[in-house]
Amino acid sequence: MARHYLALVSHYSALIPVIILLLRLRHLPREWRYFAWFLIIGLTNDFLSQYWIRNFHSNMVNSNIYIIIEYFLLLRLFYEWGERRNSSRYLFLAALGIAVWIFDNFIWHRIGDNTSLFRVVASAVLALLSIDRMNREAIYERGSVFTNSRFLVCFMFMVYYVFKSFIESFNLYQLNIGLDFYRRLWVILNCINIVASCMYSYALICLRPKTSLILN
Amino acid sequence: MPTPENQLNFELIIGACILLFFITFFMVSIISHQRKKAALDFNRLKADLLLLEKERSRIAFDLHDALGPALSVCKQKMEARGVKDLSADIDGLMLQLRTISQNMLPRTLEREGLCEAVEELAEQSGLRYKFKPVRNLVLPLDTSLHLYRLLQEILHNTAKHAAATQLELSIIKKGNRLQITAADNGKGFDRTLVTGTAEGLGLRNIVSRADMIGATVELETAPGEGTRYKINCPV
Repeated sequence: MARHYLALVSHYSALIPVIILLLRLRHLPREWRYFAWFLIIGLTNDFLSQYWIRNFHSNMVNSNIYIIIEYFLLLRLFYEWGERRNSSRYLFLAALGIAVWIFDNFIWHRIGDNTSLFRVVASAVLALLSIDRMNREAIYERGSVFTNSRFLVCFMFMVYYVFKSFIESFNLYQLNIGLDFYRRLWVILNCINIVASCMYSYALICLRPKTSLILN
Repeated sequence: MPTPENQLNFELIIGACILLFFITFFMVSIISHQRKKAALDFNRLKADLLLLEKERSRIAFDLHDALGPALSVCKQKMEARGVKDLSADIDGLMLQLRTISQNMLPRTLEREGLCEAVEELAEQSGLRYKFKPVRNLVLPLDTSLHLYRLLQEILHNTAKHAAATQLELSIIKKGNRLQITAADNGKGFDRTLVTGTAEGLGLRNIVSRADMIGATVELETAPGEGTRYKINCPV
């Protein structure tokens, strides 16, 4: 029962950063709008998942669609943070994502199945992009990293997606380790999700609008 | 059918591989960014030093070409009016002006080369000196200017802090490398104690200058044992 409540709290914890986002919407820099969509769509997917589980006993269809939307939103977010450089790298990652998603959801499995290949690839790509961006922020940006919104978000992405790729790789190999082991892993993921929501909220609070150049 | 123990081992291996992969990427990424940052800082420093030299050169020209003749005219007018006691002061001012201008833009370096300019520096230091120059040394102006500034900083440190009476300078060319040695018989110092002080900053400037031209600087010193700098520069 406690696990169930933890999962519920984890799902709805995204409400906190979304509320802060709505309160700070006017101060949101342009490149952060993809992060805003990521939070809003993530929360919507959590509500949808509850509805699908209650009515159809599975949330796989909406989750499989959500995961590719999330992948593209975050790719775009990293592209914007990188000042739109290396567009060929991001195009390649986007094409790779589409190819793997189609293969995983239509050729290897069905869209209503628990598919893991795309999740492993997407999580690994997002974790690597997060690590790179986090290092970049730590080395090039002046000021404390503890109030640097990009650093905070990337740090949390890194933790979340490294762990996600870890879990999904176990799913991918269909190892017969036992339900209890997987349950423990999902409990940890739920905890990380709650911490991530708190970190995103803090990052949104730390976010400062760019000062526009004023010439008198 | 694999046993649960084998399954667990397989699982652990997968987990370890994933973690190792991300840790490796983390290290590679951080080293790569550090290197890029170092290159960026190096170029920024190079640009700053270039700007500094340009500014020095402009001020030296202004002092020499505008203020110098003006003082000279002033001196002539005073002599014509019979004010001779101020004329000596103006001579002193003109000498100071020449020295400042010379420090800012070493004309000897431009006209005659590094060895002559270094000898002039040694003369100005007021110490007894021995100098072994290399013959027919031709260097690009920016390299010789950096080397000159390096030696200027070293001799300035010697004159100001070393309490030395004697100075030995040598410039030797070995193949495509130039070896410059500057040694004094002063009081020397403990290298670990000067970090963060004004002298430490001077030493850092010397190393930064050397980096600009791909040179290395070796410093041999200890309290009571004098100081020896060895500069090894590619030419």
